[in-house]
Formats: sequence, structure tokens, C-alpha cells
Amino acid sequence: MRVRFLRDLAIIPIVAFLVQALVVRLPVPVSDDAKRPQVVSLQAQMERDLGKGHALGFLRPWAKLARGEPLGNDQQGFDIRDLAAALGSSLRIGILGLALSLGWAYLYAWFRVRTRNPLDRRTLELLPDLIYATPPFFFALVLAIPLGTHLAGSRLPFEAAAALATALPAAAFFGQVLHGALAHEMGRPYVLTARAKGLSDDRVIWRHAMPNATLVLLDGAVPKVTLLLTGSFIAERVFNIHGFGYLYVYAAEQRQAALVVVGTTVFAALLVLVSLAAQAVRTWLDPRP
Amino acid sequence: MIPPPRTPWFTLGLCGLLALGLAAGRHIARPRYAPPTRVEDAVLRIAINLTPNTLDWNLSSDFSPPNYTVARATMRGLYTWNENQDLVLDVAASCALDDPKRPVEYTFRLRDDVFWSDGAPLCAEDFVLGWRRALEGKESKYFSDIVGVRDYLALPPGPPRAAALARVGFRALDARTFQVRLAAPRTYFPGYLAGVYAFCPAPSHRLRGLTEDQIRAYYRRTGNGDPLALGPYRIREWNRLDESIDLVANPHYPALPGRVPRVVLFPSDLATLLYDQGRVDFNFLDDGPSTFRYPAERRQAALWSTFWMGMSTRLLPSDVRRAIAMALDRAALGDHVLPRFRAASQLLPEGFPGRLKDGDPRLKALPPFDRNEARRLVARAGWTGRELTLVYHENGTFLPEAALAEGVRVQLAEVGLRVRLLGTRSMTAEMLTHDRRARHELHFRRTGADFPHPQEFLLPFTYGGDPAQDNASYTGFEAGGAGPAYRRFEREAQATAEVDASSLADRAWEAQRILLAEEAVLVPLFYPDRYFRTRPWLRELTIDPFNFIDFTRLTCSLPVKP
Repeated sequence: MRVRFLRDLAIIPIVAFLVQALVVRLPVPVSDDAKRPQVVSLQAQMERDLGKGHALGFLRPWAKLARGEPLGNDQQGFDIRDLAAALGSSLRIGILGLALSLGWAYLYAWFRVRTRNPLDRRTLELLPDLIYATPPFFFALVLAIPLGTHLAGSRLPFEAAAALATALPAAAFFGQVLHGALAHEMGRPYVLTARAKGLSDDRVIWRHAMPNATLVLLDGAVPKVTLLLTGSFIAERVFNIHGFGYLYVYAAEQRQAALVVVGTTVFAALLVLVSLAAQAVRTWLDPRP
Repeated sequence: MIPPPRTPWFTLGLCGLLALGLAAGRHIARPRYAPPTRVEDAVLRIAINLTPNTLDWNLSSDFSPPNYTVARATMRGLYTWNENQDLVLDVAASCALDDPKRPVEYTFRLRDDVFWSDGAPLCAEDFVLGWRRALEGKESKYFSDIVGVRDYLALPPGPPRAAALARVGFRALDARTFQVRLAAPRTYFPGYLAGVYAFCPAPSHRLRGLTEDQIRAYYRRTGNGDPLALGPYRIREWNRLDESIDLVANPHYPALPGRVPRVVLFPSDLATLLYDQGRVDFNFLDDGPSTFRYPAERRQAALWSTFWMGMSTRLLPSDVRRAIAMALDRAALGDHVLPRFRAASQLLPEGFPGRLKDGDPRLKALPPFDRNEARRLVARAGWTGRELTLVYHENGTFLPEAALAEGVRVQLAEVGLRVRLLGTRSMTAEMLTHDRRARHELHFRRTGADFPHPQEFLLPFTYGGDPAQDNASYTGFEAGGAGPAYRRFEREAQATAEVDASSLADRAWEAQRILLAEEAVLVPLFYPDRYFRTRPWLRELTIDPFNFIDFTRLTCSLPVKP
């Protein structure tokens, strides 16, 4: 366990180093002679922020943030408070989206195992396919038509809408995985034994079969959870919420190398955190070594 | 075996949920607008294309229009323009000139009733600090008329440059007296002081002793009263993430009954939709359809600006340029394109200093509209049937450039010239060859007045490539378009110190005569207006002639809390 923890933690600086090494070497195309001075200034800024050839250059943006200085353009750049606000926004969307999608997945799996009504069964089979076949931004647009988009002031209603739009594809995925695992569990001897002892169907599902099915969900869900936490860019864009996804794409478009390095490092750290959390939940549910 | 449920609960529940969502959505989406009921609750929300990229006006660049809007709302200068667009003193009570006819030394006595938003009085040191910072900024060229500034800017950073700063020609004589000395008389200098925000003061009582990093942090960190303001509003919050600016009334600014207490600016490309939904209170009607769609609500503001078509002197012979100028029926160009089309007869727009009155006999020197003569000139030059390229901006602005280009194409076809239309997002990149000469024959451009002075208005035609001319900020093809007569005129005009308004107007006319008639390098087409909508409870919310939203005199017609 400790080895895995250390191995996962080591991924973070490795990713940061690789991104920094790549970003500082990327050529900046110039379409217009008039823009050449801007490119020169951009390259100078890149070298100043990350240091060309410095193995530990990826730490420089963090040092700058720690000093309270902004990354990127001097006045418009983003400091640690801006980054924290952006990350907070994305995490709120991601966590709410995760809660919604998991809630849906459990209900879906339970319903699909329980129901014998032909119409319900057909609807339950069709629904995930329908969601997969729809582009993710469609859900956000449907919600944005009545709600509008965030302009200024409180972001929370729009974050909730973004979470709902982001949650739908993940919910369909989690629901199918969980249903498959639950259906498998329902055919195993311990379920038959529990029923023979007189336990109700719901108690058999929720007390015995569902925790075992959850283990399968944990194995397959880690990348999806990370995507939910950080990949709400499309919904952020539609609802005009400037979260971390927006910031990351902005940084890449504007070639703000320091921001790209910081963003990638945060993504890597989140991936590791989610992976470790999934491992902890797995150990809790199934303590067998 | 689990017994099957009798009813399809899941399908029914899902349908119910969708129906509920649909009903709620229809209810939420219904456009509604609830105006504020009293002044204290009034918030003016404005969606704009861009928001400011800095609040540090001394170091700001003039390329960001929203900077100007916020700067005017939060800052004041030595001069300003009143509601009649006359140049008047603002934070200065008086200005003494060393020589009323050829002034080089301006001594300003500051008013004693002007305070920063924290209550500290404005003092002469504030200008010294602000201007010294501006010398390190992007707009330092505007200071180059001041004694010692050119020498200072020419030096690399180091002790000699620091010593040169002491010799620069502005200083505080005492707490309330600020003096500026120019190298030579310049009639446009007071216009600079009103219109260029690099000339703003900086609060010395707050910034003195801070490092440059701390000063930068002062201008970035909002929410605690910083940065301090002198104007009718102060910054409540600058949210860089949302790109929104929240302004509240400055308590230390002279009271104006009914002043709107809060203004929020944020970026959005959907301003018209947001206005219809009741979510914003101001809307530019920029694209063609929306300009005509709201005739009852539509308001318009005349700009000090001219939209013209430039002609390359390198690619078009003189006769053909003159023929093109004579072939265009300006009034017909604007038919059904804009609600009000003010066809241009001169380069300087209506109401602008230096413009000749309509009917002035000198105007007869300009090429008249005469299509037969134009056709004859084209044929004589052997250009009948030749193809020209007209370059226009294809990205959305408030100017209907594509429609106007189509109009020019049709009108020039009548005199035997074929026109290929070429839309571009970067006029400079499209127009210039690698050796920075015009690549295409015709192009569209709008010249706006940064401040009302012919010097500024004629800047695009100033002979390019001369490093001594610090103000020549335009690139290549406009400046290079003018021929030798205009370059000779420019050199003579630069050599002569500007003296009084009448000789200035004579020179402005002479410049126009050369550009429009003798060399025929451009055809003024029309004077643009801005169209917009505002809520009925707002008063004095308008667009100034410089094309910026102006809420310095903004009030509302709502009851005040007893």
C-alpha cells in the first residue's frame, strides 16, 4: 500500500517535468510580421517563468504563486486566489456531478435488477444508448436555454446546472457498469442463501449484493471521476463559468506556459488523489488482502 | 424469483420528470424585466465585448477600449470635455500660460475640493508620480512633447536615466500647483490631458514608498477600496476570472441627485438576447438586422469619426484614383444599410474643429460626384475592365463593411472597373507586402478621434517610417498611401509651431485638400453613428463622440428612499 502511495505520488513531479520540458520547446508560429515582437516577448516570458534547460523549472510557477505574484500577463494574469477560485468552481461542479451520477447509477442498477415490466426494461436499456449518442454539450445547451448563462455575481445556480449536464454521460456509464456487476452478484450462491433465510429482495440487494458490485465500479471509474472533477470545460463554456477547465484551455490558447504547467500538475495530483481514494474505499468495502 | 411490478414506474417517473423540467424551463425562460423601484437599489448591468485588461491607467495601453470607459468613470484629469464637447478644466481650478498665443509652460492650480475615494485630497505630487510611472508605460510617446522626455526615453535603464528623470519638464511647485513645460507650443496638448489616460494622477499618499511589485499588487487587488478613484465611481471588485468589473458610486465625488449607485460590466457576445431577457440594461445594436429591429427603443449617438476608402498610390494611377472618387454616390451607398447614413463630404466629421462649413467655396476643390467624367477618366487611363481588390474587415464591428463593399463594387462597375471583394480579419497582414507596401488597390478604414484635434485625426496619413515622429502609430499602408505633396506639406507643418485655432483650421483644410483632391488617396464615405438601447429609468447614459460608453453623468429617474 505504501509502495503504491509513493509510486502514485511520484507521478505528479514526473508529469510536471515532462510538461515543462515539452512546453518550453514548442515553436510559436507567426502568421503576421506585426506580431513578431509579441512572440519574442512571449518566449522571453516563457523562459523567465519556466527556465529553459532547468530541470526544476516546473517549480518556478509555484514559487511565484507562493509569493502572491500572478502567472501570465502582469495585470490580467491569475494569482493563487484566482486559481483557487477557478479550481473550487470546477471541483464543486465535479463533486456535485459525481454525486448525481453515482446516485443515478445506484437507482438505475437497482431498478433494472428489480423491474420485470417490459416497458421499463426497454426504457432502461435504451436510456444509456440515447445518452451516449448525444453530444455532451447538448445537455448543457438544453439547460442553458431556460437558465441563461452566468454573467456576474453568484455562480452557484449555474454550477449546479453544469454539474447536471456533466453528470449525465457519467451517470449512464456508471449505471451500466454497476448494473452489470449487480446482475452478476444476484446470481451468486450467497444471494440465494440470504433469500432462503427470508431476507427481503431490497435488503439482499442493498445490504449484500450492492457493496460487492461497487468494487467493480471502483475499478472502472477512476479515470471517469477525474474527468468529472476537471473536465467540465464544455459545460463551463456553455454556462460562462470560468473554472479550471476554462483556465486551462485559455492558458493553452494564449501560450501561457506557466499556467499550463500548473494546470497539468493539478490535474495529475487530482488523478492520484482519486486513485488513492478509490483504493481506500475498496479496502474499506473489501478488507481481504 | 422476484415478482414483476405491475406498473412501469421507471418510465412513468422519467416522463413525469421530463414534463416537470419542461414546465419549469418554460416558466424560467419567460422574458421578464423588473426595473428597480428606487435609486438605492438601482444596478446598471452592461454586457460588453471586452473588459479592461488593467486598472493601472498610467501603464495601460490605448488599444483596449473598455479601459477608457472604466478610466473615465473612475479617474479625472487636468482637463475634460463638457457636455458640449468643449475642452474645460477638470481637477484644476486655473491654468496660467506663459504666453497665451504660443504657450509652452502650463501652470495648473489644483482645486481644493477634489478628493480621492478614501477622502485624501488630490495634490500636485499625485500628478508627478502618475506621470513618472507613465514614462515607463506603453503610452510614453504622448509625453514626448514635454521638455526632457525624449532624452529620458532614449537612455537605457541605469543611473544616467534616473538623473535624466529630474530634468523632465513637469514638477510640483507646491502641494496644489503643478507645472508642465513643453519643448515647443502644441495646441493639441490640452486635448492629450483630457483624453489620454496615461496622464492620470496616482495617489502618492498611498503609493509613496512602495516597491513596483507592491504597486502592481495595489492595482490588481480590489475589494478593499483599492485602487483609489477620483471620478464618480470607484472599483468595488475586479473579478479577473469572470472578467467582470463592479463599480460603486464614489462617496467623495460631488453629489449628483439620482446617480446610479452601482454599475456592473461583464463580457458577453449575447448582449441583444440578454437585453430582451431583461438581464442587462444597455445594448449596442451593432449588427445590421438589430439596428433596424427596434425602431421605437433605438437611440443613436454621432461619433467624431469618418469611414473612408483608401486607394494605393503605388498600384493606382492618379487619374484612376480621381475617377474612383468621382464615381461613388455616397448617399446611395447607405440606402437601407443603416437607419441614418450621414454621407461624408470632407474627411473631418461634423462638429469637429477645423472642419469647413457646408457651402464653403473651398469645398469645390474636392472631386464631385460625376459618373460620366469618371468613366471617361478610366477609359483614358486604359483601365476599363481592369480588376481591383477592395479589402474590408469581415469580423463583426458596428460598421456594415460587407454591405458597403458590395455597394462600392456595384457603383465602380458602372464606370468600367471590376472590383474583387476580400474580407479579412487582419487588415494590416492582408494589405502589406513583406517590404511593408500596399498589396491591394483599395481598402476600408475608419478614423476615429482620440481627442478633437485635426493633428490626431490626420495621423494615419503622417509620413511613415520617420522615427522622429513619435506619434506615427499607424502601420504602413495608410501612411505610405499619401504622395509627395502630402509629405512635403507634413514636413512644413511639423516645422511650424502650432499657434492659434484659425491657422490650425487652415492647415487642416490644406491637408484635406491634398489628400482628397490633389493626390486623391482616399474617399470619405460616411460619418458613423452608434445605435443602442437603454432602459427608460436611465438618464444620460450615452456614447461619447469617441465611441465609448459614458456614464460620468449617469442618473436615474427613480424615487429616492425618504
